[in-house]
Amino acid sequence: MNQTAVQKTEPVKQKILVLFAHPVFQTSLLNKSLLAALPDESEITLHDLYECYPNFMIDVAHEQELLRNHDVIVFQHPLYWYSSPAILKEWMDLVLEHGFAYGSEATALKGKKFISVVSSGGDVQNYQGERDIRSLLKPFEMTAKLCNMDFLPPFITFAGLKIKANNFDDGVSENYLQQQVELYRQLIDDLLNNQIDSSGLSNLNIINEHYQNLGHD
Amino acid sequence: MTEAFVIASLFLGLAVLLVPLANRLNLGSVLGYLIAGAFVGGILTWVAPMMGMDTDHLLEQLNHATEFGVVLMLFIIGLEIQPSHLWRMKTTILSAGGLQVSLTALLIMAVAMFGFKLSWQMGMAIGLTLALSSTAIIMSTLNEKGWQNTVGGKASFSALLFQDIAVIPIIAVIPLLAVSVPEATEHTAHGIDITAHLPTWLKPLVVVGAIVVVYVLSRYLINPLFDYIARARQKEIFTTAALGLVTLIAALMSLIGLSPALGVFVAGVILSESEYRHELEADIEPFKGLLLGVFFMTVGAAFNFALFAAEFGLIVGLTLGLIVLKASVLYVVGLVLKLQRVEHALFFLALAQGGEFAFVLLTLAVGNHVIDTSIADTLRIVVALSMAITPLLFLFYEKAVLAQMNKTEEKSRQADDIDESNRVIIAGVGRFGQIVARLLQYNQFGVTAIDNNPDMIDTLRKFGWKVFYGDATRMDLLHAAGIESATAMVIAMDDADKVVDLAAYLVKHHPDLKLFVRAKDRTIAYQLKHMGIESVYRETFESSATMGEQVLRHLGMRAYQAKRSKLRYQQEDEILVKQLAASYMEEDESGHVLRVQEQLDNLAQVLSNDQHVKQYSLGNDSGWDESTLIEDLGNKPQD
Repeated sequence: MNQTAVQKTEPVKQKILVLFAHPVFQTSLLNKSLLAALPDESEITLHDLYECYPNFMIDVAHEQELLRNHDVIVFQHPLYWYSSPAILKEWMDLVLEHGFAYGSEATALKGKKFISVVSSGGDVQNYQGERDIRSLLKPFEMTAKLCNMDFLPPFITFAGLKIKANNFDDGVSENYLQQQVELYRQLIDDLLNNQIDSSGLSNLNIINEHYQNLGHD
Repeated sequence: MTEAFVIASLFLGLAVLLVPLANRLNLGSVLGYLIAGAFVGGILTWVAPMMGMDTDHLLEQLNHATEFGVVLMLFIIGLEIQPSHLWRMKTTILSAGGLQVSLTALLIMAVAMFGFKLSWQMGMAIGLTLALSSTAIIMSTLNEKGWQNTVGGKASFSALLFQDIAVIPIIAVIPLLAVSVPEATEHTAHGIDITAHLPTWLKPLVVVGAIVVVYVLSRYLINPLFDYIARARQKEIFTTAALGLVTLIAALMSLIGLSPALGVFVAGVILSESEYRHELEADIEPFKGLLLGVFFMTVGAAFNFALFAAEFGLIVGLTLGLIVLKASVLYVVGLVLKLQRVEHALFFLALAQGGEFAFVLLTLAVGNHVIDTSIADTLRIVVALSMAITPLLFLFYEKAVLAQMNKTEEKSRQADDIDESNRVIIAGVGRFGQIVARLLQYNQFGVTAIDNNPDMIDTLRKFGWKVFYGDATRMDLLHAAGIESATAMVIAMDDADKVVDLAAYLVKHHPDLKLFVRAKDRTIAYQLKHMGIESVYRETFESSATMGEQVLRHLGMRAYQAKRSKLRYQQEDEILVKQLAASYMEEDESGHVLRVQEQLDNLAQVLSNDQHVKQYSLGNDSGWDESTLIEDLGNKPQD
């Protein structure tokens, strides 16, 4: 009885795998800023797919081993044509094999947390209505659910183009990117310490709202 | 002077006529020189008396002059023997050569002593002389046929290397075999021996001293001297120095009564590790070739036709006996070396003749009264005949041993041809074609290979490949390999000229056959592209571009950016090659230069273009370029 109480108050750190895909990272601003905020912890593995597999020759066994060894899987990428850059799709096609990731016998990913960290060039207004960001990312959500993963709403950073152009207005302030970096740092910290629970977030469209609500409180 | 011109013209003229002919008949140049010499000898016996000269005396004089060719040959052999290289090959050289020379010499000695009742000294001299094979004939044939790197070829080379080195002690031993020592041996009689008056105990010291002088000279003085000459950039002075070095050492050795050949050989070995080795070899080579050629001609001129006619039965018997005896010993040596069937056959057929050194050694032995002149004359004819038969043995190897391999292959191919519809023929399964072949095999596609390396064929067959031996440019071979039913042909031989020839032939006679062709370099690629061949692969293009990609990564570039940059570069270069191929083949040289200049200007323009540079930073892809999007921010779409 006493022992479990100790475990609850001091949870073991979760291991996080960041699967990062950006074909022109050298010109990136949002993702560069976000990744710079990743704490230097041994529990966090940053896996840069375009850097590892410029020939798209993905090492499936290695990738599956990485998945097995982590508790939280993060897909981090810019939004290209309402989806991910090509290599991440290739990665999903090859690595999430039947029998490993899904199927009646598959348990490898069961219960692991899944979250998308997506950056976009357009403003938040561009992703409403029929282009609602959560519904655009539905394929990732469905994938995570088919793999019996614990799906968390995505973390979105908007307005990459305006920020690059230094073209700020009421919707996008000069501090916007800095605030996003702070939220990202907090999100990673919560994931690391297992402080986040999907059941309490099911009514949220994107996880950003959760932190903004906390801020308002 | 007139006589000198007449004789020189005779020798050189006949050499020019007969040596290429001998080469064309696959007889080798040594035999060509011998035959030309025999003609000269015939003509001289008719011409010399008219000019008031004695033929024998004339030939003897010439022989002395051209012995310098032998000295130069030993210098070059020394240059080719790098001690470090030799050390690595020591086991093969010793087992292949040591066993062959000692066994052959002993057997021949036994035949001479018990069969012909000669003294043991004479038997030994003859045995050592005949144990040697013809480096000149064998090496040139092996190179010509492309067999030098086969296991059989390498074993032959090792044995020859041992023989070439063994010549030096044999030259030293033969004078010691003299039965009755005359007042001075002829070898030193026509020179000045400054050690003649020294007490006996001092002589060895002088010899050691001389060798030390040669060593010090070669090791420490030659490089600085050649550095000095090289800086002067005068080619002819370099040649002069190289020749001067050889004559100096030869003179030094003669002066103390040693063999000049031994001295220059030692100098050659020491200089073989020098950086000037290749220059020395290139400078001496023409002189060696010329003088050695004339030396063989003087041997041929002394060819005793009367003796040949008189002792025809004996000489033919001795020749065949020599070949059988040498081949048998080599067969045993081959067993010791664990050579496989095909390699074994090459080894014991190739080395079964007497060699050019026999002529040198016989002259030396006669001069030192070790062998009688009449016996030496007979043996000269035997050696020359055995050399003449060698090309026939090579021909037998090629037509019987190797061709047999193709026959069985052809049968098995025809048997299972029916169920193979996706068959590819690969010409040349060396370092390039092999990769193509293996990739096809992994994917269960039938491959028929053509290659002229017998070892490769043996190995590949063990893994169930269909392999034909021979030159892929031969029509009958292409037919045997099933060119009519093949769906594609990979042309991947090492020899770029043959690649072009074969491609041209196939484009003309099998226009429907899909060709994949290896191009050694850009100009070969131009030629192939110009024939209308689509699939041309420059052999270093992919690996050098990949290396460039990796260097970019090392410099901090993102992997995917480097990758796309490499791909774009290759794409642009391929277009360039296609454009230049047309101008290269159609215009004359200056036209092509102009076109190249034009293309370079275009390239410079492209490279200096800002857009181009920006694209490179984006991995060449404007699809990822956000700049126009940012500019467009806030603008309404136009209707």
